[in-house]
Amino acid sequence: MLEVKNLHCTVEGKEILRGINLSVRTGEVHAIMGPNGSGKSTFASVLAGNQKYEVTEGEVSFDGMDLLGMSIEDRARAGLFLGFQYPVEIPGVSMANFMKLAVNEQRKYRGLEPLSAGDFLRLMREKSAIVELDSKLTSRAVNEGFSGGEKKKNEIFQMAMLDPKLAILDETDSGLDIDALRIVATGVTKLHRPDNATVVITHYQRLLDYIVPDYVHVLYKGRIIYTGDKSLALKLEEQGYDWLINQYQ
Amino acid sequence: MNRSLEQGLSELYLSNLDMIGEGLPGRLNAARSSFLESFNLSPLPSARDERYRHCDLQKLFAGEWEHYFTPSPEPGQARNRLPIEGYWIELYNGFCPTDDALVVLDNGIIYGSLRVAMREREDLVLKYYNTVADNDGESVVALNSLFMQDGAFVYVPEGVSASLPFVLSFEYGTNDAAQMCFARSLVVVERGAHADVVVSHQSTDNSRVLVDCVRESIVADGGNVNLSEIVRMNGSSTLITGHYLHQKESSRADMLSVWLRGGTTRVNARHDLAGRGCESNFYGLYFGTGNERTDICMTVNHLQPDCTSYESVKGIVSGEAVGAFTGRVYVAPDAQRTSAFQQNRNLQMSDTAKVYTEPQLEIYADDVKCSHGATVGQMDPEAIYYMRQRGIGEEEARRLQMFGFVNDIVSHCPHDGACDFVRELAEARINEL
Ligand SMILES: Nc1ncnc2c1ncn2[C@@H]1O[C@H](COP(=O)(O)OP(=O)(O)O)[C@@H](O)[C@H]1O
Ligand SMILES: [Mg+2]
Repeated sequence: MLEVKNLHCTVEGKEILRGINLSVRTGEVHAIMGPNGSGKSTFASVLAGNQKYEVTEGEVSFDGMDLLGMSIEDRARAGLFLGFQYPVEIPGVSMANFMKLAVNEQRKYRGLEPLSAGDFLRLMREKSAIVELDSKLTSRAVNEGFSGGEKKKNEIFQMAMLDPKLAILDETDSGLDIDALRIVATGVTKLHRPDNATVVITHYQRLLDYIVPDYVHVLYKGRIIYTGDKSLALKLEEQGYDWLINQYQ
Repeated sequence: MNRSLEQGLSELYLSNLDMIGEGLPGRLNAARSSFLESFNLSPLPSARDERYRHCDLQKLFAGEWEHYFTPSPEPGQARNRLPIEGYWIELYNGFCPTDDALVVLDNGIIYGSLRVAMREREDLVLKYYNTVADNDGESVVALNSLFMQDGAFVYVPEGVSASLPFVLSFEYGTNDAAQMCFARSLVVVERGAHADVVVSHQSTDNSRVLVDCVRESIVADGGNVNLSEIVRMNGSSTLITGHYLHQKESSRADMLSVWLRGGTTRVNARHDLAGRGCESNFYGLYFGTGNERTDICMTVNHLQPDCTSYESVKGIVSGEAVGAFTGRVYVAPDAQRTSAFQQNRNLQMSDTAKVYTEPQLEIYADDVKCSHGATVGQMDPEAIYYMRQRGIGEEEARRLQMFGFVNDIVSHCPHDGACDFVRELAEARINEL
């Protein structure tokens, strides 16, 4: 589904991604771990199309398409979803309006009719239940006045609404208490299916208690320096990254 | 030697004084000489005048302007009327149609041509007319009082609640020559009465008009007014408006002004909270594109204790447009327990657009809760990125962000029947930006 080859990128002239290779197949769950500043969010942003980052080398194909040649919105419409590490507030725009527009733009891309008002409300209700999102929040402005936990739940709610082929979740588990983590992680697990794929970027093993990854990658200084199975996450939690970094150097 | 503008205008008045005063009360006409005097004493301000830095009246009034002293024929072309059911008063270039009668309802409500009202209800009208407008401080107001021949009049008697909104529809057009118009309105809401008033200023064609317009609104004890204004002038027009609101004890005013378009729009607004326990809420929204210029000066005077005022004015400027906001909240020494809030927020869509904003507080009482603020911001690229990541196109994302920006203003529309229309107008305007 996603094929990343030798991806390099710079921001303000500084090279941050230095040759990433990654292959994600339908039905898989991948975890990307790594110390702070190693380039995890940058990698996710480049895949989403954030124009702050300049791709200097490499190729990415998504569902057979040249991802890097597509606009941000077309990537999203083609089924790529990014759960933001820091979700953005949009004052004055209600969650309901925002989601209605997003859902219908994506439907249009797929040649589907817009949802009727009734069907849309039903979808909102059904999907907000997955992450136990307070129905009051969906009538408020996007992320405005949401607590940290609510913002993260809201990302997963949007993922549920948009039903992407590939979801990249950037530290959706950080800053959550145990209950919120359980709700968010269970939500992600429920949304995972044999016909989609999930990439979770995380620091913690605890998320992976719920979402069992097929592969765990370690990103360090803009490269994937090691790939293992789920036991790697446990080892990293116990021993940190130093042993791997030393081995790499 | 060049004749000054003021000389020219004075001569225009003096040589047409019979026509101007014809059919209007003698004591009204007698008072005009004092307006001539105050107009001559304080010339039209230029940009050198601190208060008119962003709106040079000397320049705007310069050149040849036609002025007609009789109602001009109404335009034939279709206009985008307000889709509001109400008590309509239609004015064209400041005049009601000649044959319009004053409407008197069973419950005592009176509305229609100010000219006719002055003739048929002289005592009633002159009890209020020119009692709150600032003829001494603003030469454009004195000029309006000097040339005033007609306008709109609304009177809601004690305890009466008007069941429909009054729609004051001011339309302007000349078909050819540049024309100067004077427009006037007087709204009186008596003790415990309630009125909804929707005012519209609209160009009917692309011709140049210079409109000097004054509105006085008086709300007596316990009265309540919802007052909206929708401005849709063409790009070569100049609209100078003076809005004077006088509130008595325990009265309440909820206002919305939406300045959608216009060449140059200057607003002098003054809200006097002149009785205890008044409440006054004002929401304003302006748009500027191309070379449009919007200059809003608002003063809220807290003259008595226990009053509350809230003002929020937002603007979106693009192209080379200029937006200016000067807000002043004055709290008199006796006006204890005042609560006043004033803010001006702007979205600057291009580097070439300019915004000047200056909120001021002037407080002479000690037990008060006052705050003010002003911001000039740009579109938030992070929010655009976030929306696009959800599949919303870039243009749509920009629009959505602008809708979000204006949403809290538009959602405070005080008239049920007009809100959807106001929202549609704002959305249509955003779609052009
Ligand atoms: N917009 C930016 N401008 C400058 N440097 C950036 C920017 N975004 C990220 N970086 C730098 O890139 C490196 C990787 O950051 P990031 O991808 O956020 O790491 P991670 O998510 O793994 O913690 C860091 O050194 C960070 O300072
Ligand atoms: Mg990060």
